[in-house]
Amino acid sequence: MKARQTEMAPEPGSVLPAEVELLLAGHLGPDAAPEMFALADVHPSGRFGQAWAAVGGRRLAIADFNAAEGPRVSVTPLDKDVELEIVAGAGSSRFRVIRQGRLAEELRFSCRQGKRFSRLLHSAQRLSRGERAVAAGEAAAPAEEALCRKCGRLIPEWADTCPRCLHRRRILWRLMGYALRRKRLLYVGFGSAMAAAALDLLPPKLTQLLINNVLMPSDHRRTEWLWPLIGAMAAIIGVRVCLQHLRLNRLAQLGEYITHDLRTQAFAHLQKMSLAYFSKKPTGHLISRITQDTERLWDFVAFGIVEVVLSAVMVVGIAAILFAAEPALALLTMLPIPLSVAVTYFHVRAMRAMLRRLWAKWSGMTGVIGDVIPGVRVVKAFTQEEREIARFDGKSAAVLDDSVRVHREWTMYWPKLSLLLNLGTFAIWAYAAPRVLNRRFELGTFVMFLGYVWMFYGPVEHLGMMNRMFQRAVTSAHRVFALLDAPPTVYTKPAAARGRRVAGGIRFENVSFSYDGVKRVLQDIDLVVEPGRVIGLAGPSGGGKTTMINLVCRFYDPVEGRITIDGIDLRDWDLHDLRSQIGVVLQEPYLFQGTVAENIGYGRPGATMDQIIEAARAANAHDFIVGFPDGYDTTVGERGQTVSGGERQRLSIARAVLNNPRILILDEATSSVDSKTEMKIQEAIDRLVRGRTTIAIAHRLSTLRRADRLVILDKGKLVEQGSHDELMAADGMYAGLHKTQAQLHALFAV
Amino acid sequence: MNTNGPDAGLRLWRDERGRLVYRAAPEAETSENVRVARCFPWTRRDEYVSIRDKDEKELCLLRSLDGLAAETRRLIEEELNADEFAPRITAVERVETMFDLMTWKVRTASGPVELQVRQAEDVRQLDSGRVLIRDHAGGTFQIENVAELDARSRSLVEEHLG
Repeated sequence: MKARQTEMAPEPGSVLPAEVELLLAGHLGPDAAPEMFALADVHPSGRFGQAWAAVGGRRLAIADFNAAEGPRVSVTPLDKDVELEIVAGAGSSRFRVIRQGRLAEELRFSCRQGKRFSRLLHSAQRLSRGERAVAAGEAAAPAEEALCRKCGRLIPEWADTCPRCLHRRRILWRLMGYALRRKRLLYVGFGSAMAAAALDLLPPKLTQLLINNVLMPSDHRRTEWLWPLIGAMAAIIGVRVCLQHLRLNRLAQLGEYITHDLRTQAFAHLQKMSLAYFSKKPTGHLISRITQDTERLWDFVAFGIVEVVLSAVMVVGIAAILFAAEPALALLTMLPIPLSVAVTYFHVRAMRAMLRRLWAKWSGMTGVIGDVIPGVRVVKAFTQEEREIARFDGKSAAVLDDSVRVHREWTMYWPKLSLLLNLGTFAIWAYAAPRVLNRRFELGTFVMFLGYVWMFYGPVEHLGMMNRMFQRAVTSAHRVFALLDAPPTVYTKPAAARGRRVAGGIRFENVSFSYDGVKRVLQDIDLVVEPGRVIGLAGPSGGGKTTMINLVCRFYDPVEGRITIDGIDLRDWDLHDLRSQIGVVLQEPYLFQGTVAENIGYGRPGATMDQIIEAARAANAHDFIVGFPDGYDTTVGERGQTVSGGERQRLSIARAVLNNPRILILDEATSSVDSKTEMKIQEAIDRLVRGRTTIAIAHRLSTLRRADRLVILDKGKLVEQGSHDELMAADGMYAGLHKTQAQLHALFAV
Repeated sequence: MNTNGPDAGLRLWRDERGRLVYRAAPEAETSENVRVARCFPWTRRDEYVSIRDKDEKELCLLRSLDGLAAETRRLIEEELNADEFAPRITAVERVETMFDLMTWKVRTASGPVELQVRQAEDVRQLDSGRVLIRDHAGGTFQIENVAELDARSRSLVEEHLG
């Protein structure tokens, strides 16, 4: 296990060098420090270059180091004569400063600096409006998310702290901490493993005694030892079997307990994480962390560590016995051992690279099959069979080539290893046999040496694989610990009051939001919703409607500005109080594995059957539920009864009704259902909405007409708001959308 | 829209803001703040260049840049180059894999650089043999011809190619 810690400079652009800061500070004006900066890392010629831009004190300063004659600094006051823009390109973008309608500066930067320039642009725009460079509620530098502050390296997606800056030994210790919770298992398992290893060392030694002192004719022959020695051999074999069982059984159990602890801890921790966390990490990764990584740790704890420790003990033990008997021959016998370990180490490394490559080729080949079979109609229709056959042949040949290479490697390794160990045997023969003949070496010792030399095979293999095994275990352990250590990004402040009732007034104050830190999906949204009112959100897709409801549920926190409910900032609400009083009916409602009744009662575990039926009635779901052969006991979810889209929606409405929320979030389904079902859903929604503050993403004209007020979003901005009639009269974007929709309706109605 | 051959009447120029202005023919209307884009950035670099307005509507598709007025052609090439940044890797010094992440220390025609690559899939080879490496920030680095690299670089690249 090696702890290579290559020193690295911080990612370019994440730190403003002191000399640049000095150069810029003078130009930003008296006592104005650079508040936001960015590095233009591409020279106009296309090489890497260096030019810095910084804002502060209502000015923008640029220090350009690209010219050969030395740095050039320019300053632009941020007033209304200035236009700033970012021209996004493929791989390289440009930051333009236009002053009084003329291009004043143009800087080129690569993708790496995109976020920083985007932030710089926003800051500059804020400063030019006379606001502060960094908005309230916006951290000064969250853009460095993925880079370690210590070593400047990228932090893997699954980690929240830099794995390289954490000591590997510390991770292993932490893992051992879990093992120590089950001391009995640990001690019994480890103890019997050590005892079994010690017993393993005895048989050749006994053979030596038997030959030298019992079988060989000599002056001090002890024939009375014969049966005790045979008895001892039998005892060793018997006890070893018991110890072996104890070791395997106890350590396997220990491993299971550790993985169980880790698994349950990880799953419990996941439930506390914010939605932002889940959107960053693909579900597959999280599942594999809870299952695969913990499984790998089981293997490591139950067998890996013990094998390595035992191997080392065996090698040392055998060496001690051999050296005590015949130092010169012992040295000769041991000589190939380090070499064998090295050969194994390199073999494991080479195999790993080769197998990775083979695996990639293999997936390329299976990719062709996976591609062609579903597309077989296309292949046949265009008579491209020959081409596909040739394509597959090529991929298969690549697999063949690499497989042959893999076989060449391992078929070389095993003979090499056995050659090395046989060298030991050969050395014993060549050294000892002539001496035995001359009576200068005891026959029993000769046989003992031969007995031990074969016992090196196993330990050598384990020691050679040790590095790889540790590396895998540390990675897995770290992945699991990284999950356990990730702080929830959205959480309840400790000072938040608990048990507050929601009245239902919602207010957006100058809210901006961005998922990735570059593109603003919501910009400066101001909106007031009085308690009990129904607000319809409409506008082209990608306008920010879903983001708005995500913010109301506090799945995310705004980047700028704030959202209040009853005048209290969402961040000051108790998260449980808040969410339990917001009801959500989503476009594609999710049904858990379970019965219909369980699904309706999901948000309110203690609900009585009367309440569930009442909720189902209110959602117009009761009749179709009773129509199922198993009624409310029907199993739905992945493997259950198929439930149609319209039924699903009504079940989800029932779920919301039962919770009796003060605020309702409604995301209308886009897919059309037949008009009778549609009517039933409408009825249910009408009942649900009554008396509740509702924010609805509306697609149906009927819902739009019924809303007290419509809010039209386009490209993250609130472009129009008012009642249906007002907006139709204004003849803006809504009127346009409405006309298209009405035409579509007319078309289908024919 | 027209898909043209040589067209000497077509003109592009820069306005004072530095933005591109387009006019299809001497008498035609001008469009401001247009941009140019390659349709085949990897396979047919100098053919099929699209001129697009600020709403991403295509104004003109140039099959080739030949036959354009010299100044317009120079400007298009300048714009295309300014939008692109995919440094050519000339040597690979080291590839370190740790915790699922790769760090590539390479020399490029634009200067030496260290790339951090998230996934094995971010290193891929096109049918033409060109290798593209995408780093964590979305930047692309290319190796035009692996065979032209020195032996050590070549084996490092091949090991990670799949």
